[in-house]
Amino acid sequence: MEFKFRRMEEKDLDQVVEIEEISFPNGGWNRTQFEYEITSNTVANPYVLYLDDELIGYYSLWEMFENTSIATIAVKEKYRNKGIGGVLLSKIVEQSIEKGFTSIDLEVRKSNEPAIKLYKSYGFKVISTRRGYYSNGEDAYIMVKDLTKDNIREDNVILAIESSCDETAVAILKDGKELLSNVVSTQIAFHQKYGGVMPELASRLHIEKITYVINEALENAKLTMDDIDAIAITRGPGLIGALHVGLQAAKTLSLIYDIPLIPVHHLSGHIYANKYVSEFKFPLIALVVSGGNTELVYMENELKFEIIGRTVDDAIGESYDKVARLLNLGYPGGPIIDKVAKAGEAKYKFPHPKVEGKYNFSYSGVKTSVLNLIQKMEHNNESYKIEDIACSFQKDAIAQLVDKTMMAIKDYGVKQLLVAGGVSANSYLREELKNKVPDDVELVIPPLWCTTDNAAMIAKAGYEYFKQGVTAGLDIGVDPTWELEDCILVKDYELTYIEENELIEYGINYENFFYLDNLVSMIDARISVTDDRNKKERLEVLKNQIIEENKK
Amino acid sequence: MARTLILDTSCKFMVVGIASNEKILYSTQIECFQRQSEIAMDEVYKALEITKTDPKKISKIIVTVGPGSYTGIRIALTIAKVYANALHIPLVPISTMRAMAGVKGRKISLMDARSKRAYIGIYDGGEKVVDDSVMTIEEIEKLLDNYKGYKLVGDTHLLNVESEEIDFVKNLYELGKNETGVVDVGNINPVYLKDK
Repeated sequence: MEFKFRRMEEKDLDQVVEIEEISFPNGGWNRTQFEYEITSNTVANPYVLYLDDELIGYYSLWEMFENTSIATIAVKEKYRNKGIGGVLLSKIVEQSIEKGFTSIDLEVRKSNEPAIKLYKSYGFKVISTRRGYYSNGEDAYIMVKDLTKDNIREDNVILAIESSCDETAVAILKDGKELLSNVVSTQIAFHQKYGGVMPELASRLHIEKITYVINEALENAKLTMDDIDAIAITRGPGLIGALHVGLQAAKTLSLIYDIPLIPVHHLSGHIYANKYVSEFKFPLIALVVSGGNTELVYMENELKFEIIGRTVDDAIGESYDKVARLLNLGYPGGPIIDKVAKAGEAKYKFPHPKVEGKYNFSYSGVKTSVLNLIQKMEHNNESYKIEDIACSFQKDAIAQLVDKTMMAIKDYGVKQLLVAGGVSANSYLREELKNKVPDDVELVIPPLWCTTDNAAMIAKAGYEYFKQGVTAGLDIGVDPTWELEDCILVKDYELTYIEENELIEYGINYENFFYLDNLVSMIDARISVTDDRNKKERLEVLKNQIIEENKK
Repeated sequence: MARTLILDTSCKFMVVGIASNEKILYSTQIECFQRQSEIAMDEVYKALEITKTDPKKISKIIVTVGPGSYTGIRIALTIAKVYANALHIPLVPISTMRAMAGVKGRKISLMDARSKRAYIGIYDGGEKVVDDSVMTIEEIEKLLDNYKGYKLVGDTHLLNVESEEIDFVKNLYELGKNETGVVDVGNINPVYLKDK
């Protein structure tokens, strides 16, 4: 079986007209129109698709100024719903991009839901409605695919920068798969004496290291900046001053080399680090555990994040650090407690925290329990081993994590469990998960090099966002408290032509916003500076409509 | 045509300039304390667009390195370092105090360092008389007796003296245009003065 495209010829017309009549009983094209298309219409490119010797589909693409228009397109009846429409559309997109056109448009009957769905899946947006366009009085949707935003080839080279906490990191990822370099300059040694990350010190070290790290990443990849197609950047959450350095560096490179910026949420990076190990199988749950996070994230699809459980107080990594300090084990606490615990026994039991919310966690109580235990034993002159306390604490902390995670994967019926964040390096957590995750759920644990902060993970998430057309302008700011759940892509919803024009009138270029929260805060800002009550109300309506549509 | 990019975000302004051949082609000085991060790169872009300068044709960057707002200094300096590093062009780091003083006359530059303290720089014809430092307002008041005939610039309101607007782009260009600068920019870092 082989698909073959070629230009439509006179000899194809019997079959073409037959398909046309079946496809458009209420008025398609007749033979004369197709003859005109082949012989005289200078803007037309009529093509037929053959499967071996059978003509199974066709289209005609008109070249109009800057854009192409799909004048007609049809698939032979018995080949419908077999992905042939997609084969035709792919060819149309390919042809249009090759010839340098900036967009493709088409008209479609409002009632033709399967076709609209197919076009949407190829990135077409409804931009307006033509009332009573068809001869039976039916409305037509005008749909457009913007090719300038979409010349996102799957073969691209992304340079990613991460500076949200205490690692200055740059990585280069080719075609979404091949990690060409991954440089991490860690500041741990500088923060150790303070027993935690000092924000101002972190910012200072980032600006000292940033150019070295960029240069090393390019050298290791044997590339120059001219080879880079886009820059992925951690925009938040994180330490504000630290984020600034990475973002300014990314913007500078974006400006000099005229390449797009891809804003990435730090936690989406941790989650997507797992793609270095396995493809995602949806639905899935990601357990995000680090010094700043303890979260259960449900994902129904690519880049769709729903937080179903989280810590109500300390993050698990934080509790490791605090307990390590109580035991005089130094900073960071995770690796050292994990190591020491191996030589101990889980002799001590700690009271279990009561937490509201089925999948929520609590880690602030356990450090108090550890402190009380040590004080009590010292007061009674009891001898104890640090190893035993470390082991007891670790067992207790991880049990809470594993129990709730098991409950969630069962309740949500997921296919995969991903583990993400610094604590995913913990050997006891890995072991417990391997033992407890049921056979029908695939457990994915990131490689050790990818558990702590790095830019390879930002590149990986950035690649996914880039494929969806997510880029940002030079006026983007950092967002130290960015919520993963707010990373809703605006492009899920098509504004009508009129709504879009209304927003532009208010100085909001909808096309420039890719994340819902940015768009909403921009609209809020406009509402607050407008004196006109009608305008205020209209903007409120548009805002709520956009939020509703996007949350669907 | 060789073009120089001039940047400063170390105090309350976002300063961007483009100069070439003794001429300042573009100059902007926007008051935007703590918003420099969002607008800085857009302003650089605007400056390049208006002067029809190819971003890759910048051949030198003059930038302030502080003292000043910690976060502020790092905005312009990160841009300048990454820019110069990418194109292998020289970077001329200039003290913010010196930028305030400019090339002409005897000047004492002041910048609010909060908690009744200020950064102070003393300059004569663009050359420093003593090292920039941070002092209490009281100490500065006493010091002034030794520097009669010096004009106060910058946050002079700290000493209840009326101030004049400083033209940062002009001052920075005049101070930096004849300097060769540093091509190995990795080691150019902010000057914080406080909290060493």
